[in-house]
Amino acid sequence: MAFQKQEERKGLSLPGLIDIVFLLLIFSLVTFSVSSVNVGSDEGRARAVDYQLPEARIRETLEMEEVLQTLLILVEYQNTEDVNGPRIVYTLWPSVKDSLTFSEAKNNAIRDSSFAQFPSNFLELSDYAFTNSSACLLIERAIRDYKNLFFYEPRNTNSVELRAVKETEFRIVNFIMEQCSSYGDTIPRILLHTLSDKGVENAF
Amino acid sequence: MPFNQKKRPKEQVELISFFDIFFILFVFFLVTSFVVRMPLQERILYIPTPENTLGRAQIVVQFIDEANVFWLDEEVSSLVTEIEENYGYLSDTRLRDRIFDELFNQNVLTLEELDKKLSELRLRANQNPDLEYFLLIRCPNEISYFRVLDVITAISETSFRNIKYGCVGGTFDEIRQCRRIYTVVEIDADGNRRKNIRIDF
Repeated sequence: MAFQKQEERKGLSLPGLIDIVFLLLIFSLVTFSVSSVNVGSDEGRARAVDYQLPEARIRETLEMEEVLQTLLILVEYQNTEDVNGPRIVYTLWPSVKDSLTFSEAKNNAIRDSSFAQFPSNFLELSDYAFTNSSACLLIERAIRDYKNLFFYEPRNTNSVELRAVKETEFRIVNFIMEQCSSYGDTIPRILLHTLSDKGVENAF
Repeated sequence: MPFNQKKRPKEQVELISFFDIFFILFVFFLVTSFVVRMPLQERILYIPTPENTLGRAQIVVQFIDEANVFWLDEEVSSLVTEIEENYGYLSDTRLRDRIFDELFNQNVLTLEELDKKLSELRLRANQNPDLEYFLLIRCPNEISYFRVLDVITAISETSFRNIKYGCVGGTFDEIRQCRRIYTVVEIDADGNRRKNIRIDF
């Protein structure tokens, strides 16, 4: 008769297992919340299209103020799921009396009809037809009026902001730059909204 | 007389378990480090508006389409001079076409090659703080503007901020159909004679 070796079966140590599971859980939880884009605040939620902004992975960027500081030209898709669809432009004005956030200013623009759609064939249009489209006229008027109201003399700090979805055609961006440059040194720069790593502040 | 302390056997870390734990943690952190990315924030990048003056640049980057660019820098001058010397008997239009064909064959880059060129430029700018570069980016209407932004970000972070840039609209065909492309001799800031390339639109 063969001898039977009685061995005690080894089980998992429950407290040890729970320790490890909790450690891994907490680590994953922390790293996940760090890696996600900031959508916690109302403002963040209003900017769900953030993900469609171009990335500029450099440190030389400026921190974006929650409150609108200057005229902001916003270019978005009419339908966020159709990147080839028509583009809509909004002109967002800051408030002189009180502070306006991005979403409040956008609501104001919608209320005041300060928005227009680029023609779907705007790339095929002649320069004349393009610059006379309702969207271009809206941009031109907004920059001119804002300049007349707030930019009395050439200054490095005079600027117009542009927040445009990543696939925005250069024709639109170029038109905005040309409008600013038509005032010479009065509007020497435009500020582009991008997605960047948190960088070092610069005194541009 | 003090009591003798009870001698306990010294506890040692079990080497095999230690390696087990070490490797599990190592693999775990390795995997998560690929998943975790630094958070991106909405931030602002400034771009100078173009000046309405005669353009002058050491480097011209002309976007042809979403995947290719045409690169012109000072090295081009010697090539143009050589063609001018060898084919000076041709009419202006044919000479222009000849120059353009040569330039086209040698200076069209893919985006990867462009990245490499820009890295070299950045390195040169970092090694020569006294030199100032101006890079002009020309982009056709239909190209997405983030392509231009990619070029700007590639040259922005130099130690001495000696690469300036500007961007304007313009097509490759405008360069191809320019009135004239030729070299001119100019005196630079140090009093040296230099051959520069000039494009008349």
